[in-house]
Amino acid sequence: MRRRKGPVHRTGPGRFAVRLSERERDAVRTFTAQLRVLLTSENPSSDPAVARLFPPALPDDDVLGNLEYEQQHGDELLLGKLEALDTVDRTLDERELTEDELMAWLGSLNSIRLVVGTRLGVTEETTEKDFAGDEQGGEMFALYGYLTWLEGWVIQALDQELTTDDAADA
Amino acid sequence: MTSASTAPVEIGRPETVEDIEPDVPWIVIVWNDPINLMTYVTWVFQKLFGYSRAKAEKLMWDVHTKGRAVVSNGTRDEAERDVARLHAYGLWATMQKDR
Repeated sequence: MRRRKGPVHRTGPGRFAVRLSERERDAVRTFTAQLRVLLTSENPSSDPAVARLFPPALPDDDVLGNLEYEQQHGDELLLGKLEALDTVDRTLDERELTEDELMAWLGSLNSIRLVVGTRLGVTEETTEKDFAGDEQGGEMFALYGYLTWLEGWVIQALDQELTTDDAADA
Repeated sequence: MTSASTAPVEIGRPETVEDIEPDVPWIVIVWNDPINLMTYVTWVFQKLFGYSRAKAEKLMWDVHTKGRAVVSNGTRDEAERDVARLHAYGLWATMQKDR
């Protein structure tokens, strides 16, 4: 299946090319830095956007169960997000990524979108018109749109990895 | 969920999907949210659970249109492990005893 080439595309088994401008890479770098600060300085009870990254596992009234879940899995979930950010920062200037590296990009882009989207209060119906007269919110929503676009291409590239018969590539 | 309008991925509506075994005590539910992309949720279901594209899309579509879908089940420990893996991918997942 031939598709129009986007900013991220699969070049072979487990290999992906990334074509982003310096400006785009800098934008991603800014977001990963902000997410790292957020993850290391706030917690789910102090910040709703962090709470979205660490949701409860059980219905809200099971306070004890949710506390146990947090104790059991909270550190590993946090570490996973920080490690993904490390990978993105380390590979942000690369032109070619492995599948594991691109999956770290995907996880980090998605975490950033969850944080920004929660901050902006986006719904499935939100458009730029909702930020008329709110310059800062409008700019943030435009960046959110950029991240959505980029993540869409990353998913498409990884999806090809999932569905392509590699024997047919050889 | 939302769609990345510029990413040309088509969501087909599958005709059949296997039912999940009902005779185990805990179920894992994924809830709809306005941020995670439909293509992302489908990809996570395939990647995490090894589901076919058709099954993953059916579950994603249930989440999107009905607000939730049961995506796996098992013992309490198995459900908890699946919830943690879904949380690692940023999906809004909970577990509960199957009633």
